[in-house]
Amino acid sequence: MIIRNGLIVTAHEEFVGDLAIADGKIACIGNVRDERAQVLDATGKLVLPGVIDMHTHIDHWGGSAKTDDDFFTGTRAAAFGGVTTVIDFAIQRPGETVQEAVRRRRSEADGKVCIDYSLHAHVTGADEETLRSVPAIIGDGYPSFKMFTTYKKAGFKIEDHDCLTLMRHIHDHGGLVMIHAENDSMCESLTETMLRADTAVPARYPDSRPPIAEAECISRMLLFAEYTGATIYIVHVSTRQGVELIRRAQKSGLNVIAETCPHYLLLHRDRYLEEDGYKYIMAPPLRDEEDAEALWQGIRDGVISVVSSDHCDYRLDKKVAGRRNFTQVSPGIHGTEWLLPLMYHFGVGGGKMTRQQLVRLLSHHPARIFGLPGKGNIAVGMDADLVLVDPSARHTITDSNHHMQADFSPYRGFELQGCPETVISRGEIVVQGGRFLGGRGRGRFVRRNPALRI
Amino acid sequence: MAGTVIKNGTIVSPEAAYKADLLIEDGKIACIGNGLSVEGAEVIDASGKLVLPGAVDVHTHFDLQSGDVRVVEDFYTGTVAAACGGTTTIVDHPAFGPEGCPLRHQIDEYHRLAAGKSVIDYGFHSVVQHVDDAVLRDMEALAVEEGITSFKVYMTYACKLNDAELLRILRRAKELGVIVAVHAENHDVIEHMRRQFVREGKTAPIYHAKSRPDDCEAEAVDRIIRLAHLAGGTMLYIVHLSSAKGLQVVKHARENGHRNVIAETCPQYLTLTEDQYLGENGEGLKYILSPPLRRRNDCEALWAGLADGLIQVIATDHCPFHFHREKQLGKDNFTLCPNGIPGAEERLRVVFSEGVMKGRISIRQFVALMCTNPAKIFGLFPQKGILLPGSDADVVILNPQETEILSKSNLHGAVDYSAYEGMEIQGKIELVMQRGAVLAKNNEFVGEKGQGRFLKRKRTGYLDYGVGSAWI
Repeated sequence: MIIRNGLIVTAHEEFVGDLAIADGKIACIGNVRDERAQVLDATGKLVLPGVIDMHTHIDHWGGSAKTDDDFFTGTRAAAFGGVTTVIDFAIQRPGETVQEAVRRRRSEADGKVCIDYSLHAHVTGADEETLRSVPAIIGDGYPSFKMFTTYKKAGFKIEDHDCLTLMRHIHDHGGLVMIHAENDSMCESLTETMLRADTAVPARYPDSRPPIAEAECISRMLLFAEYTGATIYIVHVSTRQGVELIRRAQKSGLNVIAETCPHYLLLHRDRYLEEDGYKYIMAPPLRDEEDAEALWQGIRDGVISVVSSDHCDYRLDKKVAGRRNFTQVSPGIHGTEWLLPLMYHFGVGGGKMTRQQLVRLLSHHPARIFGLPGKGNIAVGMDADLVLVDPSARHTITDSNHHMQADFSPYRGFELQGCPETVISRGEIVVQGGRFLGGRGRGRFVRRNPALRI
Repeated sequence: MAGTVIKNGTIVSPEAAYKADLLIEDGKIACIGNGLSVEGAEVIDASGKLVLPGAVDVHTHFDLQSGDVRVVEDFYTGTVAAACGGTTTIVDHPAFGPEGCPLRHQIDEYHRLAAGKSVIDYGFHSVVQHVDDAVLRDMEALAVEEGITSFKVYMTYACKLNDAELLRILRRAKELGVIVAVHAENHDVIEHMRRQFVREGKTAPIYHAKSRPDDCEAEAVDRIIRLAHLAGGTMLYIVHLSSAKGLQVVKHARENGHRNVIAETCPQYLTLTEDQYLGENGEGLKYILSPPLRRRNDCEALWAGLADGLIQVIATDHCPFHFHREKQLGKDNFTLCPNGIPGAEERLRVVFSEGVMKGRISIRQFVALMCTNPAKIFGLFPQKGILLPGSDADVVILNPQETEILSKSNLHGAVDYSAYEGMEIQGKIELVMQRGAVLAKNNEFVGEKGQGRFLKRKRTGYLDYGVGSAWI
C-alpha cells in the first residue's frame, strides 16, 4: 500500500511525501513509484504515527464495579481515536501474585484486542515472591511497574517501606517505577469526615482529594527517587504544585518523568457543581483553571513528557450511584478515543504546541519511555502504525457519537477541528471513514524493552 | 539523470538510526526505503557504514583579514579541507570591514571572495561593527532581500559594541525575527589583565589563557542574555561557549524560561586543555585562540551539556594561521599572536571519535549537533542538515570500523599544522557528496573549484528544545 502525498509528521520533522508499506512495516518514504500497489490519497491530510495510549484501564475492576468495556470494545474505541497501541495494567487482585495477574490479563486481552497492546505490571508489596519475580517479569517484556500510594480500601495501596524496597529493586533490574501519587491518609480522613457529616456529595469530591495530597506524595516520591537513585514516572499529574515540584527535581538532575491527561488540561472542578457532577468522579479529581494552565506550561517546557487518557469506561448507571455519596462509585473517566482529537484541537489548533510536539507527547515519548520496539514514529523499518488526520474536518462531541461503552461524554458540546480519518495498524486499515474494518483479536502483545534514553 | 542508490547503510537522523537505501535523483533525496533499485542508477554499497547528512559548519573564518595578517586559507583551500572532512555547508563569519563601512560592504566583499572558489554551499552572517540608523535599516534589507538572517556582534576586540549598542541591535533583531550571534567575553577586564601581564613580563602563551578567565565568559554570557531579555526575547546564539561557568549561566537561563538562548561549542573546547599552552618550542602559540582552551573539567562539563541538550551546535571557529609564520609574531609576547586555530577538516571525525565512539553522545545527537540543529537555527532546514525526501543530497558515508591517526600530512587545508596532530580517530570518512555529486572519496578531493552555491537563508526555524530533553 502507498499513502500518497500526505504531510508526514514525525517526532521532529514534517514533509510532504509518500509512504510505502510492505509486510506491515514502513518500506519507503519519499517519491514512491510503485504503480501496482493500492493507493491511499492523503493530499491535504496529516500522516502521524499511531497514538500510543500508555495508560488505559480496559476491562478493569475498580474496587466497587467493573468497567463496561472489554479488550475488544475498548481497543476498537481506541482505534477510532487513532490509537494503535495501548498499554494497560495487570492490577493485582487480593491473593494473586504479580505474575498471575499478568497471565490473567494476557488471557483477558489475547483474542480480543484489535490493536497491539502491552501491560504494565502492578505491585502492592515487597514480599519475597514479588521481589524474586521482578527480573523474570522484566525479562518477559513488562519492564514497568505501577504503584498506587492510595486506594487502600480497594487493596491497591503500597506502604512506604515496600515502595522504597521495590523502587530500588526494580531500578536495579532495569525497570521503571510508575506512581499514582496521592496521600492516602489525607484523602481517607477527609472523606471519612465528610461521610460522618453526610456531605460526601459530588460537589465536595475535589475537597476530599485536595492538591496538597498530590503535592505531598509527589514530594515524598521525589525524595524516594533521590534516595534510591531510581528513575520514576509520575502518572496523571493534575496540579500546579505537582508540576512545580517535578520541574525543580528535573532541574536538580533527578530522573523523573511526568504524564498528564486531557481532562486535567481541559476540564475544571466547577463541573462537580453541576447536577450531574457524579460523572466526573475520578482520581485525582478535576482541579482549578490555574492548575490546567500550569500543566500546559509544563508541556511547553518539556517538564511533562507524555499525555495519556487514563481511560476507565463506566456507564452512567454505575456513575449515578455516586450522586449522593461519591464513595459509592469506582472513580474513573473514559477517553482513549478523544485523546488525539482533543490534543490536536486544543494543543496544535490552540497554538500551544507544534505538530511534532504532539507526536512526541502521544507517540514518540511513550514508545521510548516504555520500550516499544518499532513504534512511536515514522521511519523506514518501523511498524506501519499510522493515523491520517483531516485537519479541516470539524465535529462536535455528543454523549453518543463515540465508540466507548459509556453513554455520556464529559466533553459534550466541544467543537473540534481535526479528526482521525483512517487508522492503520501494522499496515492494515482498521478504521476508515467512521467504519471499523479491523478484526477482533488481530492485535498482538508487544514485548517491551527497558526504557530508552535519547 | 539515472541517479544514485546508496544501499544497505545505516541512515542517521536526530530521531532515528535505521538501515535503509537512499535514492538520489537530480541532486536531491528522492526516496528512502528498503530494496530500492532503479535501472541505470549508480549503486554505492554502504553495508556496515553510517550514512549521514553532510555536516553544516556555521562558524568559519575563511579569507579573513585580522589587523595586519590574513588567514592562510581562502574559500577554495578552506572549503576543500571542509569538504574532505565531511562538511558540505558553511555559514562564514566575515572579517571586520573598514571603519564606519555600511553593513553591506563586507557581504559584497565576501561574495567576491567566495564566488568561483567555494567548493561547498555557503552563506554569510553579517557582522555588526558599529550601530547607527543606517545599520539598523540595512539589517532588514539583508534579512529580507539577501538571505542574510543572522547578525554577529562582538563584546570584545576592536569592533566590540557597548551595552547600549548591543541592546539596539537586539531590539532590531527581535523586530525582524532574526537571530543574533554573540562572541561573549568581558572586554575591559581582559584588556586590563593583558596589559598587566605584559607589564609584569608574563608574555608566554599560557598567559593568554590566564588573561581571559572563565569568569569573563560567564559574565558576558549572563549580560547578553539579560540584554536579549530586555529586548523582548531576541533569539540569541552564543558562539564558541568554552567553560563550565559559561555553560552554568546558559543552563540557569534556560531553566528560568529563557528559551531564546542557543549555545554553540567547538571541538577544541571539548578535547584540548590549557596544558597545550605549556608545550615546548613555542608550540603553545598554535593554540592561541579566544576564548582560550580551558581545563579538563570544562571539557567534561561541555560534553555533559551536549548530552543534556543545553548546547545545540558544534561548529569550528576555523581561523587558521601558519605556525611557522603568523603565529610566530607572538613568540615573545602572546598579545601579538593572531588568534585562531584551524579545524574545519577535523571537526566531524574528532567529534565522532571522541563523542560517539567514546559514548559521550549518541549517534543521533551527533547528527543533531553537527548537521540538523545548525541547519534549523540558521534557516537552511530541510534543504540542508537532514536526509529527508526533497532535501539536498549532501551525504557523508562514514565507516566506524576504521581507525586513522590525524596528521597534517593527510589533511587538505593550506595551514601548516593541525591542533589535533597524532590523535587516534575511530571512524573514517569514505565518501562525501554534495547535491548528488561526489566531492571527496577516500580522503581525496574530486570536486570542482567554484561548484558551491550561495545559500539565501530563511529565518530561524522553530526550536523546541526543553528541560528534561534527555527523554526526547
